[in-house]
Amino acid sequence: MKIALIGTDIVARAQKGDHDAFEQIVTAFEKKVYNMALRYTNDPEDALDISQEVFLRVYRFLPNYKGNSTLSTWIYRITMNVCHDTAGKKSNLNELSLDAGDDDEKPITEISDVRFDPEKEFERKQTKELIARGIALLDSEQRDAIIMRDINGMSYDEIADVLGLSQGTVKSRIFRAREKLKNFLIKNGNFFEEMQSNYNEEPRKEDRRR
Amino acid sequence: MNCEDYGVLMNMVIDGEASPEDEWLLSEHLKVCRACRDEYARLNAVALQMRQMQEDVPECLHSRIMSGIKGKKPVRIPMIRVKTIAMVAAACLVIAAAGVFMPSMSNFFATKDDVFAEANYSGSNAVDSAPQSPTSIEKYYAADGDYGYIAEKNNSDNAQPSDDSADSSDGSDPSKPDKVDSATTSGHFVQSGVYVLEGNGVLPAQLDAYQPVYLNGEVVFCFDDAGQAKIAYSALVDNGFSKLSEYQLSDECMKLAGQCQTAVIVILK
Repeated sequence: MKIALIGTDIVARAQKGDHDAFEQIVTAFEKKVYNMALRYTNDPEDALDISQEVFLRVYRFLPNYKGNSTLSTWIYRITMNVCHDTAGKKSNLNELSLDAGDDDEKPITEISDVRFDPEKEFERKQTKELIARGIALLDSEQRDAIIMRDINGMSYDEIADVLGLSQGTVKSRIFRAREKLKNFLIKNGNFFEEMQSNYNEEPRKEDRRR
Repeated sequence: MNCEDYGVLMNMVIDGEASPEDEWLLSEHLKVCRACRDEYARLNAVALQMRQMQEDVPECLHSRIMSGIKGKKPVRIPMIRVKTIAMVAAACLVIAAAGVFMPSMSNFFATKDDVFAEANYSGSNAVDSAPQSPTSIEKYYAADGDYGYIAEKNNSDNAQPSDDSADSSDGSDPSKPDKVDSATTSGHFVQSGVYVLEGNGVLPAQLDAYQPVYLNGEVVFCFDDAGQAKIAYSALVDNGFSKLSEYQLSDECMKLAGQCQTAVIVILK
């Protein structure tokens, strides 16, 4: 179910404890919540735990949601809170994240590709791991902003709303996050040479609302 | 505009956040600046790759979430209304914390309007003043040796809001019985799920999600609309609250949010 289809009637039912209504909310948001958590922790197991905790909190605190912000903003705010809590409990988050990127045994869910090419698949996995390491090295504030922007396709306005920041601050954090990621990729491997063929393929603007 | 300014603009264009005028401005600049052209290509590549990082959700997640809520009920956390701006000479910390500190107040927690506590302080020497009837304040000692006070709810149905406690900022009618902050006496007013810190600052007229609370000009905490407090630990330490830790407070807050039990702790500095 698309997020836009979560109407106030579904929210109202879920607020009263209707499991079917709540399940529709879960279906609409679980992918984004999971991906935010995954990119924040770079650990699929942690991402699962965080996602479960997020929806438990959503369920329990839904009666307190009064529609002052959009439901998505409210849920992403909770997601960020849980991510930060998890990071706080794992004081050595960056170290863990970097290790996680090198651990081939960790279950990484890959998007299936009907034109499976082992060599390209290997390269793609390596690139993903490299990017994941780069994300782990970002400041927490920059990481929040760039994950919401690029992984979840949120607009600057939505990000500002979730983080309680001005749009200018969001712009600045995204700028710095991309700069840092770019410099990390320049220093680590031949990412930009490999990406040469993709230079003309700009990210689609409509991706913002994936 | 210098090249760094164009860097911000590049990201806005990549993200579809730039106006047509800004897009035109950038395209004109890229025609004459090779360094920025290269930079734009790299940033585009980073953004493109980032957007391919989204993974499918593991199949087990959905069932884990749904099984996790079985047997659980949504809870309503009454929002706080601070009725008056009460200045306290000595910095003090008022924390809504779990009812474990005050088991004898079980009846108090069960009141229909969910009012958890009311500290009847007013005026600049409020802490030194005896609490006014009918509100009572009991001293208690927490496990870590800190002492504090439990402020009991004013049970008087006839109590009227004082002039300075009127709060209609949300347009609600305070006389309605479902308003948890109705018919209270003067003084600040604390309910479940909220940490209130009062010091050499000013308590806002109404605490709401993400509204920071200050002590000596420094943000100490705020709470979000899921009832979770965000606490600046260093600010607590700097202000002499070294025995409190972020996670103790956060866990307590979550616990009370789940159990709808609370007490008010006033820790004098």
